[in-house]
Amino acid sequence: MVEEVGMKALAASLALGLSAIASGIAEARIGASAVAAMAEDEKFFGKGLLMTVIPETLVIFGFVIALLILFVV
Amino acid sequence: MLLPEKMCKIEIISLKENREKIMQRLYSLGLLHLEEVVVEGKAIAINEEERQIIDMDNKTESFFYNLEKLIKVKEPKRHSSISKKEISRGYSLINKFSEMFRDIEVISEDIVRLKDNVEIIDLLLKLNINDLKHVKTIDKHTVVIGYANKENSRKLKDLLRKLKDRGLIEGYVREDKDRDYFLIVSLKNKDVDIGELVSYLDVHHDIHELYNRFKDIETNVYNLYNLLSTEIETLHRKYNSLIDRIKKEFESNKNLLWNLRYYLRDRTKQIEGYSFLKEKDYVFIVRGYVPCKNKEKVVNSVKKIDKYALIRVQEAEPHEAPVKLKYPKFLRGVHFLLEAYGLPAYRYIDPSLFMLITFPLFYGFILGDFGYGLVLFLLSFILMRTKSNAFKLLGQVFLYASLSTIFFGLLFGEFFGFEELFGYKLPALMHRMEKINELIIISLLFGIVHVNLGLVLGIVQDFIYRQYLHALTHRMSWILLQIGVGLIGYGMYISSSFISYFGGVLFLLSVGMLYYAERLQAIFELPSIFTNILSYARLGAVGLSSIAIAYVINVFAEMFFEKHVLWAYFVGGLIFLIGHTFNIVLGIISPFLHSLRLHYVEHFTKFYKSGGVKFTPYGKTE
Repeated sequence: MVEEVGMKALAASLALGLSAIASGIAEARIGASAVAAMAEDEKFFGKGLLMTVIPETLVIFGFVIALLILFVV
Repeated sequence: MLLPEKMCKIEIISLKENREKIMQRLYSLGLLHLEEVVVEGKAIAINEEERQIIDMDNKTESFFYNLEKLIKVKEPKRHSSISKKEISRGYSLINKFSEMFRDIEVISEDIVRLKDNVEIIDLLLKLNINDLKHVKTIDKHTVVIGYANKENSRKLKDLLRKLKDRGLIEGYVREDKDRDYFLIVSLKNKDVDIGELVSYLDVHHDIHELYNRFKDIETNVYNLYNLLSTEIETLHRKYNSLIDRIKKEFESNKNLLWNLRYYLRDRTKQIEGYSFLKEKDYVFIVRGYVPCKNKEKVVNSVKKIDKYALIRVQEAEPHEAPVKLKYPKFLRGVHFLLEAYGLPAYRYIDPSLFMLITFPLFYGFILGDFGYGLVLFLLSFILMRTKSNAFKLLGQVFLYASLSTIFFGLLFGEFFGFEELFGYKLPALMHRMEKINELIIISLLFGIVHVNLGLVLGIVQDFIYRQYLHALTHRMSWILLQIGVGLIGYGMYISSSFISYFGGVLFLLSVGMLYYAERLQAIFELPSIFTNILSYARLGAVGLSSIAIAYVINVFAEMFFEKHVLWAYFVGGLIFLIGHTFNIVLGIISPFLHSLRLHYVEHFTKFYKSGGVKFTPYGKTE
């Protein structure tokens, strides 16, 4: 029983942690380019922000999976 | 409010001699958004008087720019019209001021140059060179004087020694307490990298300019020092007297100069508008867009000047016209967020009214804390009182968001992350940490409503343009797909094969419609509608992370409070203060970005068409 709880916690943390790392890497690259574009033309703010936050969905999916592991499985 | 104002395209053709009068009238009306005339013909050539106006406008703006560096110039609240006599007096004043500022510039440059010379003399004296004759062969040499700190001095001395041994350079050094002084002399035709030597010096000067100026004067360096100091003093006096004169003359002609500035700005803007026009034979052509409700006003005004003018008015086509949005003051903040994404194209839906509800709703649902809501409420008032227009608009958005945050804070029973205060559990409809699954389900329900609202707005838009097939295949199909999948799932859940089959039929029907609309691409994108909805899980997830951070801060602070010692109270208080400040900052930024993203990515992609050009009427400044 204790082992099962531990494995669940490990799986949930991996789902969340790995997806967060992936989001971070993607956002860093997009964010840098978005800032460069905005430095040239402020009108790119909206599109820049939009592009930057797109990979955040990954960590949200990771979070949903973590919740499923913890409470449903 | 949902659609931008209806625009009419207008083209005016009139005789050349009426050009100025007609353009002046259009300028004072401030109703026409000019469009460049692209027909065969000549561009308008501005006359001598117009050229003078542009020139004087540049001079006046440069005068005010320079003046603002000297004194605080307060813009008058009102300005009046200006007579021809006053204009001509204003012109001569501006010309006079321009010359005075030119003199000031020359004096400033002279002062800088002389101060440089004084610094060189100071360095010469430090090196015990009292007579310029000691460097009399200067014409044939590169001579640099300067000083270096002790560390750089050691490196420089090593380098000088090596170059000296090879006969490439002469260097004189005088050592002092904190720094060493150097005079480096090299023959111009010898291949020595002076740049490298100079890089070790903290301050350095080329002494040629000083030498050339004073080489023929029979005097020692001490006297030169006094001579230059007197010269600098005289220049300073001249400089100050010029500044005083400018200030005095500006004060006594303040009103005239401001009125002239406004007059010239106005006239220049009017003349700039001529670049949109074209001339052909005896006529000129002006083209642009006017709100349809004002078209009569424009036509009648032009007809009053030239009753034979040819005026063609027609309703503007979608996409081509500029966008003038109609929205009340309370929508300004939300509209600011919309403009950050891009103005809606002409005659396409402006969703700011819906954003007024959904943006604060999402924001409040994520943050959902009574205490944080109050802080945000105060912050919004501070922002609205700033001078920056962008901050004011942001303040309005935060005001709505704070009200929603307070509302959800009461619903979730949270106060600065605490669910308990002084041993009493705060009343709540739902404690988020205890109802995680429900929280995520509510988030997803928000997603279903918001994504489908986007699709419905898309259908409305298609109906406005009578694109019924587009509405069916590009929007309705996605709604059917969701219903189909939902029914399949529900049928399986309640073991009803009829409902499942019915859902399956709807699913296949929607896939067929999507394939018709977007071919294979649509099949690959089928899951996107569900990932879009799933993305709304962030509403619950980000909120939970905010509670978790607040909880950790409180537990950590309580650990110290429980010690009941003075220093522990202090440390606990510090942790509490810094921690919650950090969480509030995160709490303000994070829900803002996530709510905005849900609108930009998940909602707008279903219907919103950006790319509109803002309506900027000729003559009106916003």
